Amino acid sequence: MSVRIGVFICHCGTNIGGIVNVPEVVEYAQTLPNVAFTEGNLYTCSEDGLSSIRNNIKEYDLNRVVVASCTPRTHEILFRQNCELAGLNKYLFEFVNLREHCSWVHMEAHDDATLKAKDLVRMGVAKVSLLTPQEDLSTDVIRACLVIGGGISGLSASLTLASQGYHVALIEKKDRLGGLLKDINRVFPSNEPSSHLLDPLISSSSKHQNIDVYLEAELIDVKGFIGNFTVTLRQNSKTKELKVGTIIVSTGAQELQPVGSFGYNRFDNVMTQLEFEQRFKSDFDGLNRVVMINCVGARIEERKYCGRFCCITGMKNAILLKEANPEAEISILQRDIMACGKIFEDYYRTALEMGIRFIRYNVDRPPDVTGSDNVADKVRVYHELMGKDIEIDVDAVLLTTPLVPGEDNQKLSRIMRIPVGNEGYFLEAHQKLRPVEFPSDGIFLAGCARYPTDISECISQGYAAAAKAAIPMAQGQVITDAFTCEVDPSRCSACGRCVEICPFGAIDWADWKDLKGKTRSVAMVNPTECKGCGLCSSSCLSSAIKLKGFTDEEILAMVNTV
Amino acid sequence: MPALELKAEVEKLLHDNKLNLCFECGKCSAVCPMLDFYGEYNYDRSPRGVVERLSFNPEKIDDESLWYCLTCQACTFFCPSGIDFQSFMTDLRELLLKNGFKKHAFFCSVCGRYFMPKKELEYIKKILDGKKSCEYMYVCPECRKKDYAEILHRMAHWPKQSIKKA
Repeated sequence: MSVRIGVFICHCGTNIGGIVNVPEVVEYAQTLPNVAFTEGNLYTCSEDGLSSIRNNIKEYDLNRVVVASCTPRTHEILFRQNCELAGLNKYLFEFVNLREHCSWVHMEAHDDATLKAKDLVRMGVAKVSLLTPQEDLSTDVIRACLVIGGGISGLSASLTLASQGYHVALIEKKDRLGGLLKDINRVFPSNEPSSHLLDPLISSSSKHQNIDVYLEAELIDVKGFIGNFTVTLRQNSKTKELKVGTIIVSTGAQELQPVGSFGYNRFDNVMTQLEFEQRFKSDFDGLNRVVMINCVGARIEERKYCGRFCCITGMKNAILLKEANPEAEISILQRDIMACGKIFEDYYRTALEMGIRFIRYNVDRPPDVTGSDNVADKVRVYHELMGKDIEIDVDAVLLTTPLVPGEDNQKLSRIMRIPVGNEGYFLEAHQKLRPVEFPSDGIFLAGCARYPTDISECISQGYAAAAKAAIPMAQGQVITDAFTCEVDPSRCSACGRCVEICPFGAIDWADWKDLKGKTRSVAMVNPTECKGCGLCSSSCLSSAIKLKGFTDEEILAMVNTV
Repeated sequence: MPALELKAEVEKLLHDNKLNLCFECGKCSAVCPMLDFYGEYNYDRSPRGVVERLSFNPEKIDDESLWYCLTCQACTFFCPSGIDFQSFMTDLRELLLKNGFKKHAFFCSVCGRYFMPKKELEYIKKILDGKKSCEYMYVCPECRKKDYAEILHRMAHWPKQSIKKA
C-alpha cells in the first residue's frame, strides 16, 4: 500500500499564525512527496480540528498523519488517540513542534520563521513515511507490595495498602517497628508522648491479616520490573524470596552525631536533642540553666541542607524544660529560626512568650563550650548586634543536629537502581511534580529517606506512596509505550556500556544462541522497564540497539531533507 | 529599693510588656526617628538594643542609652510581634525616677515634675540656637495649660473693645 500522508498545520491562535505564514506552509506541504492532504487549522487540538483529522483520514484514505503545532509534551497523546479513533495505528503519527521550536523563538523574524517551519514540516513528512505500526505492551501486576522500613512512613503506607486489600510485606532492619519516632519522647506541637501516636499503628499493622512483618530482615537483592519484582531478603541468616508488584522505600534517616564539636563526647552534659529525650523523659531535675546550640552540622560547607524541623525540636524540649521549671533559664543559640506554617509559627511565639531566649550566632564565630573535667559549665557566644562576647552559665548543653541519610542508602540504590542525590538522600523522579516516585516504574518513596520530614509529612508521604503504588495493582496490568529499545543480538559485542548507562535498569544480560549454535551473553532490553530515552542506543558502539520510532533510518531521512 | 529587687522589677516590666516576644527583626530600629533627630545611630539606644541589653543585664540601668527614646510609637506601630515599646519605656523611666536615677531626666521648672529626657531638651535647644527660646520650653504641658488658663480667665473680664484694640 502506498504511503498517503495528511499534514495538519495549526495556527495555535496567534502563537504560530501571528509569526509564521501558515497558508504558505500549507501550500508548500502539498508539494512534498507522498502528501495526499494538507490543511491549516485555527486550533488543531479543538474538536473541529480533531474531527477534521478523523474525517480526512477516512475520506482521503490517509495512512500517516503529521500535525505541526504546539508541543508533543502536552498534545502528542491527544493526537495519537485521535488517530486511533479513526482506525489508524497511533504510532503512525508524527509531531512537528512549530510553536516552541519555531514561532516562539523567532518572533522578530517572520520570513525566516516561515522558512524554518517549511523545513520542519519537510523533516516530519520525511520521517513519518518510514514509521511502522506498533502495538502497546501489557504485563500483569502482582497484587502485593514490599515496604522497606517500618518507621512512621512505612507503617502508614503499609496500613493504607493493606486496608485496600493488597498484600504487604513490611521489612524492618531493627528488631522492632516504629523507627526513629520510637526514640522520641514527646512530639510537637501537642507535646504528647510519641507512643500515643505509634502504638496503635504498630499493633494494628502487626495484627493485620494482609501485612507480613519481617523484623531484623535485610534486603539482599531485587530483580524484575513493575508488576513483577522478585525480592530476596535475609532474616535470621536464612534467605527468603518474595514476589511483589510494587516497592515502597521508606528507610528513613538517622540523627547526626556531632563528634568533636562543642565538647560533644568530652563533657557528659553535652548531648544531642535525641539523646536528651532518651535520658530525660519527664524528670528534669538539675537542669535549671540549659543552652541549646542549633544548626550543629547543618547548613555548613560539608552538609548544606537545613534539617527543617530541628528548630522546632529544640523549642519543644525548651518548652518542656520551662514547663517543668518556669524559673529555668533556657537559651537557644540559633542561626535562623525555621518555623514556617501556622502551627509552628504559633509554637515559636509560645516559646518566646514563655521567656525562652533566642540568641543569634554567626557561623564564622561559633559558640564555645568550656568546662572542667567532664562537665561543661560555660558557653561563650559572640552577640553579633551587641558586638561582644556573652557568657552563659549552664547545667547542660543540647546540640540540635539535623538528620543524615541512612547508611544503607548507597547499597539500596545499587540493588534497586534508584538514584541518590548529592546529600545521600534518595532522589525523587521530579522534585515538584512527582514527589513520591522514582524514575523507575513501580518503586515509590516516602518519608525521611527522601529528605528530613516531620511526622505529619512522613504520614502524608506514606499515604501518597501507597496511593501511587495502588494504581498499577488496582489496574492489574501495566501498559507501556511501544517506542522502546531493542537489541540486535547478532551485532551486540557485549561491551556492557548500555547496561551501565540505562537510568531505569531496564537492560540486563541474557544468553543468546548465534547462527552457528554457539551460546554467548548479550545485552537485552526489558521493554516493560524501558522508557525510550535512547541513551543506550546512542551509546552503543556497534549500533546494535534500535529505538523504535527513532531509528537511524528515520533520523537520517529527516537530516537528509534539510 | 535594693539592687536585687530593682532587677526583679525590671524583669517584671520586660515580661509584662511582652518584650521577650522580640525576634530581632530590626524593624523598630529601621523606623526609629532617633537617627534623624540626634543625627547619629547606636545599637544600644535602638529599641531592640535596649531590649536585648536589659534582658542580659537588667541591673545595669544607670545608663544614658535608656534616655534617648522619644516615645513616638513608630516602633510600636511596625512591630510584627505587637510589642508596645513606648509603654515599656514610659514604665521603665517611671521606675528609674522612683528609684532616684534622675541624672538624665529634666524636670519642669514650675511644678518640678518629670518633663522630658535631658538629651531631648539639649537637642531642641541646639536646633533653636537660642533665637526663640522662651521660658515655656522649660515648662511641662500641664503647667503651660494652667498658665494659659489663668491668662484666658483674666481676659474673660476685659471689655470687648479693649480686646479689639489689642
